[in-house]
Amino acid sequence: MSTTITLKNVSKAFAELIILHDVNLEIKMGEFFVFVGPSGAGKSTILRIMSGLESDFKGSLTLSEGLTRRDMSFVFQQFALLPWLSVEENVGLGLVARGVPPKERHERVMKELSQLGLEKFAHVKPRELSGGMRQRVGIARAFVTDPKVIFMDEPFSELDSFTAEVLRKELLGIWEKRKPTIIMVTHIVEEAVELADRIAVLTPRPARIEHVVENNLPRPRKERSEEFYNLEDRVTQLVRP
Amino acid sequence: MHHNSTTSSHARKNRVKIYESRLHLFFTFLVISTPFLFLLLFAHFARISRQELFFDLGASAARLFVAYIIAVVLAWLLAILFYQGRRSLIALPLFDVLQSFPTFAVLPLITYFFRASEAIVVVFLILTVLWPILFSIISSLKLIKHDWEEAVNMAGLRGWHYVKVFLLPVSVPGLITGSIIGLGEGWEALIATEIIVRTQTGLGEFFRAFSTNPTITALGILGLLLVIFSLNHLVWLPLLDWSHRKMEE
Repeated sequence: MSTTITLKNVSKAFAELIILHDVNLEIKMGEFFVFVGPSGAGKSTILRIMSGLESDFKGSLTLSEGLTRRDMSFVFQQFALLPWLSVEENVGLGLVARGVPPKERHERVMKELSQLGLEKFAHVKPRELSGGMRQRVGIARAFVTDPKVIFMDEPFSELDSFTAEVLRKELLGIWEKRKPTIIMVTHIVEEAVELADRIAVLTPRPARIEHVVENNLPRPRKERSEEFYNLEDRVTQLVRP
Repeated sequence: MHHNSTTSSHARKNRVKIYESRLHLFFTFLVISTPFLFLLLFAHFARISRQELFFDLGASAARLFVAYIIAVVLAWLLAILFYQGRRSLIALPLFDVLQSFPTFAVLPLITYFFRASEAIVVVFLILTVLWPILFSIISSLKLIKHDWEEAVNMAGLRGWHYVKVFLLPVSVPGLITGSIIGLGEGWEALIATEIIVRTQTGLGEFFRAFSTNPTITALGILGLLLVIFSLNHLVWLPLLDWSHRKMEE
């Protein structure tokens, strides 16, 4: 499998505080890659560096040939929807930026919305939606440009566990159909084991990738199975040595 | 088809809601009519021609309106160009010094050189109204949530799209707040400028003509305050409310 993003000796410090120390990583095309680690371990910082939101760091970041920032999108922990725009306008932002004409824009946005059960809410403002619905809008916005890489920064941590579970299943469904590379951050081991092809375990301050665990559990994964629990235990052990 | 009918009924419901009761409707009517009635009675009892009074008010309001529109465009451009980054380090202190510049100190001198003209009044009004609008817009822009900025950057919005879709809407609450303060100062500066420049028309000319009559001066001020109150109640406060509601998450 070819790589999409390569990190070599990436470090990042705020003044004296070292956030990331010497991170080396290769993300493969089409994989679901998850960083797991405790809060404040610099997980978000890695994601921001890879997505280009943070450009002040040491080391090298290489995108595979043909991959540009235009092929990337981001799902935010706190949704980051613009409150003065409707759901449809929020989802269509990336298409506006890419000069897609209004008619095609409308069609593509509506297709994405109906995939996530949001078609009836196209004209609604985000404030009128529940947290789960808001993050569905965030996910629709990330997929609408047909990106090759999608970054997700703790996308389910603001949601109650029932909503989060439903949304994870929906996300997996869409990912399996369209196969973009997904690079996600979470502090919940169970979430990582349910979703990821590979799990990178980060140690706190300065963050360093201690282990990258291959997750070969067959999909669809059974969260109540022994293999699932075993892997969850193994990764948990690695997070808290 | 079905969808359209529900949205239009939704809009109608919203419109009706503005006038919650007959009392509210009556009060709104009162707010519109009171300044006019007052000015008519005032003109009648002070034996001032109605045409002249409304013409003076209209001339002043027109000057203020023109100055306001120009100030809004200027303030918006300056705010968007200079609100952040290295540029703001130089621009913001400079703006602060400029807004403190005592324009009235140089007004007699400029009037002496260029003689009385509409343009002088408008330029000086712009210099008064500009600053509150500029600083309010800048403060709106500085309050932009980091999240929103990242989302818009990730979407790939650049240049004019970035301004139109993102910076303009975000700056609207600041624009409204700044307009309320700016126009409040504007009426005051307007009358002073007109008195100093000695324009042939306008409220300044009106108050200058009756400068020895305390009753007419007092009633004239009351009339002006009534007009301002009505404008505020009918236009600015609803706009302020609306602009903040739009930004609610």
